[in-house]
Amino acid sequence: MREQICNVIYGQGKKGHSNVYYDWFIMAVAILSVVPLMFRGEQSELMKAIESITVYILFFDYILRWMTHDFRMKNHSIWAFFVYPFTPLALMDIAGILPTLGLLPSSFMILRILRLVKLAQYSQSCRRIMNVFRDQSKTLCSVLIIAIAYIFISALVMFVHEPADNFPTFFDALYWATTALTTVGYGDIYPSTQIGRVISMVSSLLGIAVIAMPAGIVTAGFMEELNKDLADREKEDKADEE
Amino acid sequence: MKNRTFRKYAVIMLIGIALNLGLYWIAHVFHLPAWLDTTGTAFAAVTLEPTAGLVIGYITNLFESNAVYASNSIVYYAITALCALLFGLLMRKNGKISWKRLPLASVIYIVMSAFLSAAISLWRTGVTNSGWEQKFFEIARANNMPVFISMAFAAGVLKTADTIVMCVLIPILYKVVPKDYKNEYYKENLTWKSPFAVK
Repeated sequence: MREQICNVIYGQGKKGHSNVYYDWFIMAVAILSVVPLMFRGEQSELMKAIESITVYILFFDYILRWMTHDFRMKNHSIWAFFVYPFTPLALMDIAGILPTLGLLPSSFMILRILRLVKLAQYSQSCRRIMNVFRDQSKTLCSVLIIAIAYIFISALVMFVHEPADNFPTFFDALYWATTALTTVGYGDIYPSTQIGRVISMVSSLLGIAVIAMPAGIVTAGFMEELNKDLADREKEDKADEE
Repeated sequence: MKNRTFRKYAVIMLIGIALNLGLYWIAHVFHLPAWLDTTGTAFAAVTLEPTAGLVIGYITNLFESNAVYASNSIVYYAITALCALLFGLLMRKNGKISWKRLPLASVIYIVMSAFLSAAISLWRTGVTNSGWEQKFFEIARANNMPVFISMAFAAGVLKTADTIVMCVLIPILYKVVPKDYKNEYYKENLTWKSPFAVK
C-alpha cells in the first residue's frame, strides 16, 4: 500500500495518470489555500471553510509523504522516517500548516505563504529551475559576488562624489545603485551633479550586463534541462514501443 | 487480483472507520471513561498493515475535529498514528500475527499515548479535553502531582480503558474476518541502516 501511495505522490518510474492528477490536485489546493490571505479584516465563512479544508488536505499530503519517505530515498531504513520532518521541504510544509490550526502564535500567520512551496515540489517546471540552480550554483554564486561588488563600488563612488543632501547615508547610495542597476529606478533618489549623472550613465550601461548575466545562465540551463527531459521521454517511448 | 486486494482494503478500512466512530459515539452517549476512537485503527493495522490504520486514523480524526472538537485537535492524529504503528508493527513476528505480543503493544501504547496526549493538550489549550479526564486530572493534582504528570495520568486512565476494549475486540474481530479479507502474512522490509547510505 505504501509503495502504491508513493507511486501516486512521487510517480516513481514512468509517470502515470494518477500521479499527474495528484500533482495537479495538490498544486490547485496549495494555490486555493492562499486565497484567504488576499483579503483583509474579518474573514467570511467561505474563506474560513477554504482555509480549513485546504489545510486538512495539505496535512494529509504531509503525512502521506512522511509514511513513504523511505521509498523516496530509495533506502528502506527506519531512520528515513525520523529524517523526514527535518528535511527543508517538510519543515516548510508544516510551517505553512500549523498557523492555521492555531498551534503557533498569530505573528506566525505569514508562514502560511510557505504553502506555495508545494508548487515547487509538484510542478515539473519548478523542479527544472531548481535543478538549474543546483547545477549552476557555483557560476551563479560567482556572478552574484561580481554583481554585489559592482553595486557596492557604484554606490561608493556616488556616495563620495554627490552632496550629502542627495545621498545622506551609504545605505541610500546602495539603494540607488541597486534600483538603478536592476533597471527598476524608482526615481526617489538620483544624482544632481553633472559628474554624478555621468557616473550614473556609465555604471548603468556596464551594470546591466552584470545584472543580466544570471538570467542568461538560468535560461541556458533551463533549456538544457528541457532538452534532457525530452530526450529521456523519447528514449522511454522507444523502449515502450520495442 | 488487483480488484480483490482493493475490495479487501476497502471493506476492512470502512469497518475500521465505522468501529472508530461508532465506539466513540457509544462512549460519548453513555459518558464512559474512555474515547474508544482508536479501536478501528488498531484493527485495520493488525488485519491489513499499519498504513491502513494510519489512513483511517486520519479520516477519524478529521471527522472528530470538524464535528466534535476544534480544527486544531487534528494534531491528536499523532496518538492515532502511534496506535496504528505500535499495533501494526509490534503484533507481527516474522510477518505473522502473534497474539502473545498484544500485552507488550498495549502497555507501550498506554504509556506513550498518555504522555503524548498530555503534551499535545498542554500545547493546544493547556487544559484537559473531557469530563472524565478532568476528574482524573483533579485527583492527581490533589495528590500533589505536577500538571504535566497529572494530565498524563488522566489521559493514561482513559487510554487504559480504551486499550482493554481493544484487547478484547481486536482478537475477536480478527478471528471473525474471513481469510480473504486479511493479510495473514505481512512484513515491511525496513532496516536500521543509515538513511543516507547509497545503494
